[in-house]
Amino acid sequence: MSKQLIEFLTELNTNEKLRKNFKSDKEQTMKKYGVPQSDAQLVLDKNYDEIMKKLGCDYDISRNSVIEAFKIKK
Amino acid sequence: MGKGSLIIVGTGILTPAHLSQESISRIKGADVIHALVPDPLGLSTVSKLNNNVKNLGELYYDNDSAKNGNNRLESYNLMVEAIMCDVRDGLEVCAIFYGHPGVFVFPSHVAVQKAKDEGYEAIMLPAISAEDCLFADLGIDPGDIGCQAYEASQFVFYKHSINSSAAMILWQLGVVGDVTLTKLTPAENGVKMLQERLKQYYPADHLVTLYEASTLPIMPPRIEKVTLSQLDKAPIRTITTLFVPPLKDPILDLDFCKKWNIDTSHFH
Ligand SMILES: C[S@@+](CC[C@H](N)C(=O)[O-])C[C@H]1O[C@@H](n2cnc3c(N)ncnc32)[C@H](O)[C@@H]1O
Repeated sequence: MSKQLIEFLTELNTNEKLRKNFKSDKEQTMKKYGVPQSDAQLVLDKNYDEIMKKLGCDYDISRNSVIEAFKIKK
Repeated sequence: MGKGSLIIVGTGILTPAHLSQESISRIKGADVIHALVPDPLGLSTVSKLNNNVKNLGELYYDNDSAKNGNNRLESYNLMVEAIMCDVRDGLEVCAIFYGHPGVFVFPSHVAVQKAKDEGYEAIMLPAISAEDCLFADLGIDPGDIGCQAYEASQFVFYKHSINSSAAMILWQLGVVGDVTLTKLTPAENGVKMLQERLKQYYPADHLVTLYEASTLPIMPPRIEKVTLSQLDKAPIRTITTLFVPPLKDPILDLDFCKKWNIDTSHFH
């Protein structure tokens, strides 16, 4: 996954102008930002699973809770 | 070297959008960061704010090796120890968890307690949890109808006084029924047990919502309605939360209201 896509997605979270531009023209906004064509295509195709995979998203480490019963037993 | 301290912060569900100003400044100001953030933009965001980041994910329980203990609980204790080591070394430590760091998170609460017990300053900051996103995305106000929340396995294994006139939120569906704390998926009969338990309180055609808040600004949330009887056919992922709407209106306590001269004529 390109650094530009990570930067782009990060900035999209907090930059209102970028968000509006993206909303009106996804392809051109990503191109102007320098997101490589192959990454941009994943966004346009809404291929979220592949994007997550490429971002190294690791939801295997997302379960952080144990219930009282287990705490006492172990 | 100054006396060590601990601050626990949360990144929210959508990073960096959900990071509070206070959390950002505490991350920037810490000597060392310990982070357990699985979401796609979490670690890269944190690394931009502070260049001394230790990834607690490396201490997470690993099914294939015994290097991080024999189950999730043991690996959480290793994380607490890693955090405490730096606190004891006199560092200003910031530990970061995703969502709200104190909502359905075990090691954060243990670390705060341990640090306090050992005489260090320790605090936790609030943050945006999956439940906060759920209220926004599903248009639910917990104040309207009341709301109860359980960890899915706890809901299954215990007898609870469930109020079916209020909403219910079930967390950690993705490991429901797993008593070994080693699985990354529901136990073999986990979803079946959950269905059976839910059917004690709700009819089989009760519509429930499988909910996943968006973790990327380009992605919509997952809001999938299924009946209770279809629940075992629906995909359940590690981040899936179940929303169970109320079944019926609460019963007005007329005797009580009368005793206290409450005019109930306009009550729903
Ligand atoms: C260990 S808890 C951590 C919760 C987190 N501290 C918070 O404040 O939301 C993990 C559970 O949170 C819920 N969860 C986490 N991410 C979610 C998301 N993106 N959408 C919906 N629920 C989520 C799921 O129920 C999951 O099993």
